Amino acid sequence: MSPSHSARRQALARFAANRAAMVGLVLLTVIVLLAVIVPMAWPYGLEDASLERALRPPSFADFHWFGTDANGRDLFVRVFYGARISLAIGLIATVIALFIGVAWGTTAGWFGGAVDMLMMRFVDILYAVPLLFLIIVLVTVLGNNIFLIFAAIGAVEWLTMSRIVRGQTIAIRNLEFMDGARAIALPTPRILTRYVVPNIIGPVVVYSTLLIPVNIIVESSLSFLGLGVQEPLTSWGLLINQGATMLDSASWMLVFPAVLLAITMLSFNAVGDGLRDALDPRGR
Amino acid sequence: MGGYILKRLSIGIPTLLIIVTASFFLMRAAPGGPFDAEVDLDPLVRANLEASYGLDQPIGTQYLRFLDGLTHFDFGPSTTYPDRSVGELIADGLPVTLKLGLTAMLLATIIGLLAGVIAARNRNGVLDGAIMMLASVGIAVPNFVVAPILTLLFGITLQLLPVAGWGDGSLRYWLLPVVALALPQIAAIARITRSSMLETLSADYVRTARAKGMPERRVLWRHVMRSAFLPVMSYLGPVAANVVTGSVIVEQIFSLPGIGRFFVQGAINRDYGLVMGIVILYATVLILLNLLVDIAYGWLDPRARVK
Repeated sequence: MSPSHSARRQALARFAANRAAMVGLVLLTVIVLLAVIVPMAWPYGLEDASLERALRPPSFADFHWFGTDANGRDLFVRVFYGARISLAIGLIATVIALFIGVAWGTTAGWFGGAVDMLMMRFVDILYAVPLLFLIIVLVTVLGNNIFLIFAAIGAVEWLTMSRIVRGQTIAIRNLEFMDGARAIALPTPRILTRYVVPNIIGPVVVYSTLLIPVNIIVESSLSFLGLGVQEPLTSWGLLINQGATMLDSASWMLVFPAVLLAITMLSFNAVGDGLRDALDPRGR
Repeated sequence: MGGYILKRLSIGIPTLLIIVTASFFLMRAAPGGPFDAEVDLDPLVRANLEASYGLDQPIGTQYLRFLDGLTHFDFGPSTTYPDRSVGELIADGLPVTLKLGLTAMLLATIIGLLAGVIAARNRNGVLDGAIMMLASVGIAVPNFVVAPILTLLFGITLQLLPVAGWGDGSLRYWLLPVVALALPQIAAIARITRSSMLETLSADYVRTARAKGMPERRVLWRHVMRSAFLPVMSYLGPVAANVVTGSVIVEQIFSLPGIGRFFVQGAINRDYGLVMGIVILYATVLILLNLLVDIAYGWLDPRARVK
């Protein structure tokens, strides 16, 4: 058995022993499954409105488990449809941030000197502005398209990633196997993708798990403010916004999406922390 | 110390200039002008409107004019509120936002520190477990969920506090918004305080202090708190940024007449002047705050000055 194999196995065992992380993983799996299945299988559709069924409180009798909204639309299907959008945006924005952050960080860390200084000063400057502000400015400029929201969030949330990656790159830049790669005259882009990236991927994965919930919150905040996902689509932020305006007459409209969002956030954080502890033996 | 402050300043000022420039050109590059909402605007009227806001000038001229205006706190006109200037709008909203933000920061720092110290002193005890669990929930649940739930609880179910609005600006009206704004920050500060206290408690010099028979209370105040406070201190910059972002959302939820609401309104209406004015204001405030934090840090911890 190769040493890396057993190291991986040990990390896996450490993760499995972490109860909070395992509970989080199970909850996330359930939520993702429901987000996939419910909109396909539920007796009500996303847009099935009916004024006579408006503002029904939750009940098991007629499949309105989470109640209905002011237009008589079933909240159970809307909450899990919203889960699709919120999770998808969180995930895709994270992947975009990952690519930009890894490319930026490895380049700055590998070349060092003036390149590094310029690239990292750029990151410092962006850091000075609250990220939600940058995204609001970007969404204002780019318009309210859902794909542009993915892009805008990803385009802003890569800053910390690039700092982590840069640090890691500098740490391994002068190791012996790097000299080997240079000695066989590999072109730099190939060294970066084949030698540097695979060796720094651990912290990157951990940070990505912690970035997904951040991005879900950013998307929800935007949608909550009316600057993100728009009707007829829906997302958790939009549902929470609609619930907040109906507080006095239909509190279930707030409670269900809010609780589901909170559970998702807690689960992602628990999984992310668990991964970090499992992959970083120093933390033990 | 003087050189250290100068060095910090030499980072802050170019940063601000770049932010001003970038936000100016970004907003001008946006598709859709500020007068797009009016349907069938007569071309002559539109030209006149654009001329009166200086939008018909070359972009370079507009930029220079804008910079010149900034030097005497003139942010230009707002297109959403035609009879007001951006400066007036900001002056109107600033007292509300400042009161909200500063109170929330103060509350978050005091309660967060207290909770963190209590948790660290009861390491792995029941109190520690309870505080840390609350902190994980507090970090995971965003402002825009906390705020409506607080309203539901105290405004609607218990009928104790007003649901929204600023009223006469008395405590009743801003209590819920401040708490909603402060809660996530309390959680974050409590976590940082706890871990930095635990780290300091196991330091050699603390063991030495105890070994020479120093009373526990004195060990805590003289040796532990002082260095345990440093990570909390350096986290105050991000706290300020989070409070600023949060205030935009909280003001929206509680319909408070602060600048955060103008910002969202401006973004929806593509009001260049208003959005830029507020971004620049917030960036300035945050850069200054970070500068103060850095200086205070350098004063408390001489090691930071050398780096």
